[in-house]
Amino acid sequence: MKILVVDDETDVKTLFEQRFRKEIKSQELEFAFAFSGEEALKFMNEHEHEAVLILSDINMPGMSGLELLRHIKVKFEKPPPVVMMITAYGDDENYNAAMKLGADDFLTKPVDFLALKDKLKTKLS
Amino acid sequence: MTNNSHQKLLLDEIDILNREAWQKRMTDSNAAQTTSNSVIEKSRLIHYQKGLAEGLRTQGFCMIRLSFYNEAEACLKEALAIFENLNDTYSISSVYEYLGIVHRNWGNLGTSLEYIDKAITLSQRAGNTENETTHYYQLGVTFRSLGNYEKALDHLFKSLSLARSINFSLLEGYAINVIGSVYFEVEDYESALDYYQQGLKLRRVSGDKWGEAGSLDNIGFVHSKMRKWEKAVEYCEQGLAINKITGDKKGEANALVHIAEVHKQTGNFKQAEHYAKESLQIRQAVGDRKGEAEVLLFLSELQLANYDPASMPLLLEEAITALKIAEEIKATDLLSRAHFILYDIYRTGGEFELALSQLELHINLEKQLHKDAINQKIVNLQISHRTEEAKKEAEIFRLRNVELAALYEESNRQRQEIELQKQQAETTLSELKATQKQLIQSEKMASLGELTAGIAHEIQNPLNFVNNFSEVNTELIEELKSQNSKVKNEEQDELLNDIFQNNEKINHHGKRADAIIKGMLQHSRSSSGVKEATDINALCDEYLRLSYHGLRAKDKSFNATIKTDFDASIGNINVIPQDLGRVILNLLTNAFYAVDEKKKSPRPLKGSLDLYEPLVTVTTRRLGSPLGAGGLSGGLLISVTDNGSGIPPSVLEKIFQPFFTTKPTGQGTGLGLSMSYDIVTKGHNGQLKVETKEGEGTMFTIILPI
Repeated sequence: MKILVVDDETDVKTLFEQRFRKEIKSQELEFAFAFSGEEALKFMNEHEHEAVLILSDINMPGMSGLELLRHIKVKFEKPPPVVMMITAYGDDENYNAAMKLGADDFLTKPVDFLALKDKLKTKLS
Repeated sequence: MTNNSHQKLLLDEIDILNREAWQKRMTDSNAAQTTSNSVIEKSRLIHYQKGLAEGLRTQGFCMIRLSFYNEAEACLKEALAIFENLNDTYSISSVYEYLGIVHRNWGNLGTSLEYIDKAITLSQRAGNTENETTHYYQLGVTFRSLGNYEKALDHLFKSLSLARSINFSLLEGYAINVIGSVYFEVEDYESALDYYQQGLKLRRVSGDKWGEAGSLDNIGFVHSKMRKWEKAVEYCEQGLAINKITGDKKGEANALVHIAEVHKQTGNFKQAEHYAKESLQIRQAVGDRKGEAEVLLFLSELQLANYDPASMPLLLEEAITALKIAEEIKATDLLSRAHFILYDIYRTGGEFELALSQLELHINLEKQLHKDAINQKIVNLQISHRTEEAKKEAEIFRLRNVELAALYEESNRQRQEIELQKQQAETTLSELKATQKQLIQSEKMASLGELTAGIAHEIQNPLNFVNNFSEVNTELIEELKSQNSKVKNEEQDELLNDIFQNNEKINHHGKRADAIIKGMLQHSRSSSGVKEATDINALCDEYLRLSYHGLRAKDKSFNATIKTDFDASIGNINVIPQDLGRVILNLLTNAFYAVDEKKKSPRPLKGSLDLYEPLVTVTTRRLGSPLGAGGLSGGLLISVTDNGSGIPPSVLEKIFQPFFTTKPTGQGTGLGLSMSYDIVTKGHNGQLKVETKEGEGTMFTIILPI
């Protein structure tokens, strides 16, 4: 089971790998990383049946997280991937847009990793 | 046909004839005389008193026109008696006027004035303007005969204006003509000519032949005075021709004398004598004594100018006759002239003693005349002339003044309006300036707010990494430590402890920065809160406890007296409770900080300051309620007052700016008041005001519309 993390900040990869090092070691969780919306879509096309959960930032150069969300929800119908949006701008506008496009969850930065861990475990079990 | 109706027809006929005769009395005196004569006969026959009197009145007027003054008086007296019986004031006033004319012609000027005065009184009482107009005219003529030119012109101008007011053009012509004569008599020939010509025009328009002839004669005579002989004769001859047709004997005689005068002046003595003698005959026939004497003197002068010793007896006779007449009619001017001519005759005849006595008489009379009349006449005329000019000027000035007054009025009004507009503009300008200052201030704050939000967002992400990695580091160090505990390595342990401590510091400061960023973001983020009915007093109380106990928890030494003054009538008000709560919390935190600072500050002075009691008061008021201040109706007021050190004027302007703080680094973000300001003004459309006195305290007031 793979979790695709989409963020333009490359350090996110290191952070997640360290934050979830125990889960990764025990193969409880498996992470893949994309540093743009385009890259994320490319990854999903290549690993159509691997990605189950997507964690995406909203504010990215090029394709935004919301656009990515729209593409995923249109293109990948079966199985319906779980998409969780993460943003620093926890405003109503972004929240409503994300929910309208079918986001499964909406998290605000800074991410509470303990809570995220629980959520991921629940979603994937 | 019954007797009565026959009688009635007769009376009607007489009335009609009388009206006809009366209407043309001035324009066709001959026809009027014939008609009135027959009316008199008919009326006597049937004893119709009214008809008789009216006939006699018209007849009397016509007799005056024909210069038969005795006959005129007889007619008028008879008419007067009947009119008095009939109590016909209209007719009485006319009769009085005519009697006045008769007496004037006889030289009884006093009696003339009496009659005309009576006439004026009657007509004024009866409101008969037409008669009043002719009375004033005749009064003017009598005053002219008296030599009182000022009064003469006064009355003549009065008559003129009355005539114009009722469109009585006939009399307008007469008045103008006599005004011309007055100017003529003081040798202002230009003015005289001007008036005579105006009169002529009017008389021609009104078809007054008598008047037309008189005007022509006058114009001719003025020309002779101006030494324009041909024109003079031409005009006088024209007048003479009309006089002959109309039967105006007096006018005819006047014209003849005037023509004679021209001939005398041009040295044509024979022609002059011929015309003068013709005039003399007429004047003798109509009993014009004064006119007769004048012609006689003229003839005497004429003969003296062309002296023939053979004609001496005739010459003397003529002059003495003139003298006697002048004495008889008490015409001083004529008498004086007669004495002078006699002096000239005796001198020419070589009888010097007689001549000298005549000269003495002449000089004495001249002195008297000069003293009494001539000087007076000239002075009067000059005055009248000036009066007339002044009147004209006054009228021009009056009109100009009316215009000027209107202009002044208008400009005054405009000036006031401009002044008002100027004041309004000034008020608006100062209001605008104040608004602009406020706008600039809020604009500064708004852009700072936006900038803050931008910066906050940019910092948020790297800061998250710092915090996250420091947290991960902590985990890693803990893990390393637990692994190390198996293999004892003290040096490594020490290093790990240091790294751990450093990481703690990184985390601590990262969290601090994160708190600031959170505050900044809160500040910029549009509130997601919803307005709901909130018990304001309860809200204030809740945050009061929260802030007080929060502070007490941090600093046990902190203490302050809290006073609440809540308006129970406020009830529930629609506000965003979390936001308003934050504002109240902010204001309270500041208030407590202020009183605590003051308490802790060193006090150089002894006395009352040592008894400083920190006091924070929270007051709520519903504006317009019995407790609240009047004026604003339906508003909510929350004020937080402290008795701290107050805010120095130098920083007062900056207190609502973001990041402005007087607290030591790390103790305040400088966002509290800025955020509060935004919540009150933008979030609740209210006002956040501050009142402060350095050293005494500060009061923040929230005013919200309900």
